[in-house]
Amino acid sequence: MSSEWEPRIVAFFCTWCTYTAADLAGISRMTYAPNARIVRLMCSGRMDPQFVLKAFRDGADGVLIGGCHPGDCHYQAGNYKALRRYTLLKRLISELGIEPERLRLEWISASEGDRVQKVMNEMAETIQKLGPLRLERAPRPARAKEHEREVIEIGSQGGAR
Amino acid sequence: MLETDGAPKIGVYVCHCGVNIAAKVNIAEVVEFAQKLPFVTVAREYKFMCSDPGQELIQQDLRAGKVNRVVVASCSPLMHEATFRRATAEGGQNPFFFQMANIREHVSWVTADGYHATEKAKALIAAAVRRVAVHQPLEKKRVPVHPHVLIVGGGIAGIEAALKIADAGKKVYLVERQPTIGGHMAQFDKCFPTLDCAACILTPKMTQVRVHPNIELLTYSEVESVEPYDLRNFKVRIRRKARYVNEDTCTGCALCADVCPVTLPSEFDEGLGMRKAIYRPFPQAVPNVFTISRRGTPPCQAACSIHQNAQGYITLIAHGKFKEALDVILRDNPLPSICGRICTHPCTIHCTRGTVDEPLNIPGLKRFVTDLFPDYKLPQPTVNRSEKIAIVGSGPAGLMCAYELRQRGYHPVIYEALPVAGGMLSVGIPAFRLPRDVINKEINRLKEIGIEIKTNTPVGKAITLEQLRQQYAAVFIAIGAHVERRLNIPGEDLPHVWGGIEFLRKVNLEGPFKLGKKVLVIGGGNSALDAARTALRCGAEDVTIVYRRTRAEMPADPKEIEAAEEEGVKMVFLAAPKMVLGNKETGVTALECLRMKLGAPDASGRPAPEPIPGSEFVLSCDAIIVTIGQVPDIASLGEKLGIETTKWGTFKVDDVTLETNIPKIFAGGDCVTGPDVVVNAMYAGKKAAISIDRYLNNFDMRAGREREGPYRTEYALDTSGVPVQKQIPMPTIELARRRTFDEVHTGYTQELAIAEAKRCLDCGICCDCRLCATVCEAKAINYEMEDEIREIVVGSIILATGFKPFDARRIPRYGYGKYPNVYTALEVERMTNASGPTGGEIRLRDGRKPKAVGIIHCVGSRDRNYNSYCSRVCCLYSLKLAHLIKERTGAEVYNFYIDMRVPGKAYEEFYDRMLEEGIHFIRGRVAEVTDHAMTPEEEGKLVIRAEDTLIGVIRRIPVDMVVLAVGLEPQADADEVRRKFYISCGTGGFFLERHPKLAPVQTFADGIFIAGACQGPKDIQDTVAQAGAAAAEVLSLIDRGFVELEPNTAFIQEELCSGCKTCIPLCPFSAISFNSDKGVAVINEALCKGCGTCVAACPSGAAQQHLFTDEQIYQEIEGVLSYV
Amino acid sequence: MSKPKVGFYWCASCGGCEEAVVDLAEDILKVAEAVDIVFWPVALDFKRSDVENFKDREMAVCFINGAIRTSEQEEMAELLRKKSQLLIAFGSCSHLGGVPGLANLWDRQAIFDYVYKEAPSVTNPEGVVPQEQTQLGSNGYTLTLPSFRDTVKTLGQTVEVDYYLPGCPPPVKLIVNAVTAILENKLPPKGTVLAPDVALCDECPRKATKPDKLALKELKRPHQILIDPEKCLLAQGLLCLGPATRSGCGAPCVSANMPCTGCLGPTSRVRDYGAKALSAIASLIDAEDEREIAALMEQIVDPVGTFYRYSLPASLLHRRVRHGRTGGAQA
Repeated sequence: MSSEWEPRIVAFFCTWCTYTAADLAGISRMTYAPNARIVRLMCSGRMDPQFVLKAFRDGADGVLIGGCHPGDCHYQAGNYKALRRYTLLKRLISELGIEPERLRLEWISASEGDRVQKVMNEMAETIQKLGPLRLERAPRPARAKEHEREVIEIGSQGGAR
Repeated sequence: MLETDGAPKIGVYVCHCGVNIAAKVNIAEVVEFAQKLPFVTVAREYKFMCSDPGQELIQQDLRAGKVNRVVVASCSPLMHEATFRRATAEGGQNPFFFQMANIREHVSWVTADGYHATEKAKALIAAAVRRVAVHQPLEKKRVPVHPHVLIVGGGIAGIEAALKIADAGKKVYLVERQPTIGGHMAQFDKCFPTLDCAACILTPKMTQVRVHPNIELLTYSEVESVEPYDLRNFKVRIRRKARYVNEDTCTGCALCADVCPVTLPSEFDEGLGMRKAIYRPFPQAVPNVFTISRRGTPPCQAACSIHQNAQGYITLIAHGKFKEALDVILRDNPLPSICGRICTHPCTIHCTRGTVDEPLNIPGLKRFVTDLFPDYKLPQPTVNRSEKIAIVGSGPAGLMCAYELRQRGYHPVIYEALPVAGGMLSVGIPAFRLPRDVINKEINRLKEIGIEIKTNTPVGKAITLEQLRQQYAAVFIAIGAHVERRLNIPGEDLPHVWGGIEFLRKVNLEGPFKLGKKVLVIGGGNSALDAARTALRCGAEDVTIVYRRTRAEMPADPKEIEAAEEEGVKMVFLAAPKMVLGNKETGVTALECLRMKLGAPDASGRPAPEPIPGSEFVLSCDAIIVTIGQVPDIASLGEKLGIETTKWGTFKVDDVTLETNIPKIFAGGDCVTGPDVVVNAMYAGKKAAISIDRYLNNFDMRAGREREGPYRTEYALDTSGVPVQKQIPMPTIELARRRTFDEVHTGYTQELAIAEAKRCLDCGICCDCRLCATVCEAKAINYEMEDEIREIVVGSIILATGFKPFDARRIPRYGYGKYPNVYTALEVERMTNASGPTGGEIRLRDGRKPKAVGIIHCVGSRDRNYNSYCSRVCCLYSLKLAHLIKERTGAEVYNFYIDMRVPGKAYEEFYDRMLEEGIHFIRGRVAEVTDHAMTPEEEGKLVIRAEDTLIGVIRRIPVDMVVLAVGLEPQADADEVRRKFYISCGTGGFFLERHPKLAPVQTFADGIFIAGACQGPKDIQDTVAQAGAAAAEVLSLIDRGFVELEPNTAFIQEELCSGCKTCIPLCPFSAISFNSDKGVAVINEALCKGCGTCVAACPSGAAQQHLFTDEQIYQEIEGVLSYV
Repeated sequence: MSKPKVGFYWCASCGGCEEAVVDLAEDILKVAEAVDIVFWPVALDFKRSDVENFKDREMAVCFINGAIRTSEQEEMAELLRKKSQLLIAFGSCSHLGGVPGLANLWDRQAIFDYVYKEAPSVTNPEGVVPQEQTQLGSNGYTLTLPSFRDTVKTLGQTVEVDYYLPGCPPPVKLIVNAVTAILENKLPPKGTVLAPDVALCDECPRKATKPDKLALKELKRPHQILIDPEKCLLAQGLLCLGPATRSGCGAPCVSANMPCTGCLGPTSRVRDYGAKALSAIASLIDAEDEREIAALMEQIVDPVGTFYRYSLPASLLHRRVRHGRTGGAQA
């Protein structure tokens, strides 16, 4: 794989508007920057600030949240809740030294495939300019690779249920 | 189900999707990568995973126990998640041990280069693998589907769908906004390509809808709101707009329309024809009933204190229906010939015509009618009651009150102190403005209907108030304001200083007398002018009005001021009397005044006059009339039984009911308000009558009286394009005769009245003349009808709300609205229609047959400035119109097109036929339509300038008629509607289907379907097909009887919930409640729609969402980032 | 049989945790009865060398309070881990980083500059700052000080911890439960936080007064209003973090009109205390317009200090990001 650094972006998209728009962008063959990885949520209201920090912690250089336009939420008002959390979270992360531009909230309706393209490209560009987000790993006493341990435990539980 | 204990065994299946994925993503590399991921036991690739063999691959591995969880990397889950879940289930595993990686829509189709595409695909697969490892088995929930169906829109799509569903025995509500169903198709004459008559194929279907037992037709109705009734069904509120005609009893006989005096452009005929205010869009309308167009109370009527229906009688006058006009007038006004002369007509202030040029002369028109029938009678009361009511004072307030009470059957008795009845009307207003016989006639009319008037009977002397109170069921005090205000300056008591009312009363009662040569009148109100003009008529040679402000501030009616000046009345402004000079013997000799200047506005909003010190000056005179207002003569009543009064010496009453503090006693008019205009006194009288009637019947005195008295109407009219035509002045007698007491204004002649009445703009549309009711044998008309709200529950909804044609005005260079002979296609459709405005004749505005016609294609379509999409139907309907025009007129027809788009069965053949018929086709977008002639043969023609791209020259084609083939656009309120129904709009603003190919009539909202042009431009053929599809979707739903819901609901682990209630207000569906016994929050699964908002907010992580648990999302995040 | 050996040690802490032990009152005698305290620098005179002389795992239990800030604290943590069977993080600081953890908003350099030079109370014209190595005169002795780390760690981020006793300081009730559990050998699975896994509202005396549908129209601070002693503090517009914080303390602060500041940390299901608390509070803000929302949020004076008062080092971000520095550690 290529040696030089490329932005890593996690995009949390709501099923009804933004994820559908991303599909539309695909169906319309609109190519855009490959940096973002889309995680589908039912509604931007499901957006837990922990997910954003988790993404940064796990190596994301930017996080994008996509929801329906105000007034258009499939669940009436989830996007407003997302907006409230986003507003406060943005302040919090900038106080913790993360450039606020690394977190972006966009309203994109199901028909705005072109907007997905535009936003994805802009986001990649912004992050490219900012460079990598270098979090320091919280030191841990030596033990097996953590996520695997978790997967084993939880995985087996999942099976057993 | 297979055992899945122990570590998960994950199978990863990568789809080529033909070349769609394989061409970008290095499948082999991806599979190899997947192989190495934790818990992956099998990783395979296949050309088409969604195909049967593809799904079989998965099922084999599951059955063989090689895998117990499945990841498919292919297209979007919105596309095939269901497919693969089914496959997983058929493989014997819980369908939710499945996760999809979208490597087509989100990877291969949007990534420029193979390397990045492959890397991205790997990341998404890694994520899916981690996620599926922590999936849990889930059950789908079944919810019953309500069998009733709502269809919105009664065009051909709605009609077709309704009939299909109803024929299958299901209940359908068909809601249509217009008074009839039929939609645009009903406007067409012929349909392409078969040229069969639209009406012939549509109207039978419309009739079927009307008679179908399973269809409830709700026309002239709109959906107000759509709310979730339960998890899957809808509660819909429908507004049934008031028709003012009873749908069940109206027989459609059309007699009402014949008598209706109000005409306006017919929407159905695209404004080429006219319709009445009570109308039926077209003869075959369904339901075949009439509807009255009402915009609301006209501004004039609203502004009138007694809500005299001016538009009503004005419209009737305009149509020469004078008798009917009189009836309308007498509906609200027993003193019309008086009001017609001296009312200060607030109606004209708000007359919409005033915004164009000048308001109508409303009182003048009223007077005209009353003059025309000098001996008209007032309506006789239809009920009779025993109660007698005493009214003190026979001014307009007293008379009106008496009339209203009499009409309600009571027996009013009016006590009048003066020798004549009429109050100020008789003693305060000079005869040259209001002839005595006019007043007397009005009074006699009132007497004729049984109202008793006792003149020369002052209450307080002849009889006491207390006696009245004992002898009568109720008492209304309306003694007016007859006591002069005084100047309170030295010399005011000298001889020949008159009070204005004192003077006018003397003249009115005893006739003119010589009061002096040089007369000064002090004041600026109407009574000042009356006094001044009366003084002239009493032989004064020089009459001067002295006013402390300027002309601009004079409260008097400007018209009256002009009239006075014409007659020679002089005016001195900015002068205030300081003292009256003269002596007891000879009386006044002069008036000393102070110059004033205007200062800051006072309470009345007018600038307050301030004296300029030392600016004294003297005006010589031999008589002075002081008209600076009056106050009520309360003292004259003697003991007042403790009725409360104000510091201005007026009675204190309840604003709404006019009750005084003493039971049974009411008061109104000038004695409550202070000096005010006639119509307000009448208003008080009417108000008192209503109160007394309620009082005597023990009804609520206050309920529903908000709209009594003047108010402003909500709506404003668009008066653009109304030609200017000023008010027609009312004839007057020549100046020479203005020294007598002859009436100055002689009134309108019939011709003038009709001309003036025709200036009315029909603000309210229906003028409420109620002629229709007089001819309706079915008694179907109900002017009191109000909107109704209907609430229904349905399981499925089909939106078939159609389109609106592109507004050709938006492209000025094509000259629509500028050149009369530029038409839209729909207008020509109406012309070609035998039942249309021209009876099927294609004519220019001036009635000529066109010799050459140009049809311009793609107007508003395929044009970035307007709509970039192709409207699909224009080419073909243009061909059709070309054919019809040629057939009916023999004209040369030119089609200006960009590309001929005639795909579809028998369309190409149709096109060929038109070519053979000799219709001209010019390829190229039209630059402009102009009337600028460059050659003699272009004179008087419209020239179409376009490039003929086939021969590469600019051509100018002179034609008589231009037809604009306008495109199709979403309904103006499409966006509002889609919000109401929880769906989205696609590009161009048309409703968005769930999938362009595989779910063209479904939307992203379960149970809501779309059909016809609301989904995108399409012709009748396709619309009907789509309607059928939508009907099929609905029927299959109803027949199954239930739907399975995504089990992605939220749940709360009780033992972990602290009962902090954070989640409760966040749920838009009120699915969360607090269980106070357990002290925890509980989610009602039946109401939860699965957005997860509460989960994201739960501060202690006690709330979780199936299919989207925190852990699953964390895994996905780690996944996409673990590999880059 | 000999009584189990027990040790207490403090790292970067205020001493409050020791007070908590004393708060056991007469119970402390029972404890003294039951166990043999072999190491407790605050109270008794032991030396590091004594511990070094223990056999590995000689101590049954060792309680460590305070965050890990210096090299010495790291060494002691590792030493004590080695010498004891059970290592218990005692109090917010060792559990989550605690108040000292807020120092992770700066780094060593910034802290030294401020504390030894810039603080208004300091007079230090020569700009003397602590040195790790100091030559003592000519006799060749060198004095060595522990090195002050850039970043504060929790105990768990330093050595493997068996159990956590949360709180600032840990509530007596929880200490007693923990000790009994140990003595009776009734311990839960390793890594458990020894406190109820339900949020504070569960045992809050004001619980009943919280409205079902709360919408925050403004956020206030305790000194800005007259506090109703009965009514839910959030309902009074005070930023109470009880909903996001473990119970077990009996809500003494809330009972004393002080909103909960979250010293017992998150429940087991929450990965980042601050983010989760923020999510809950933000969701309840009663505004839908962007500007309105922002304005209301401005009333939260110090988001980090509010939501991470005790848990910045344990949070997902661990510390403020330092720029112009290479070598971030990615997965």
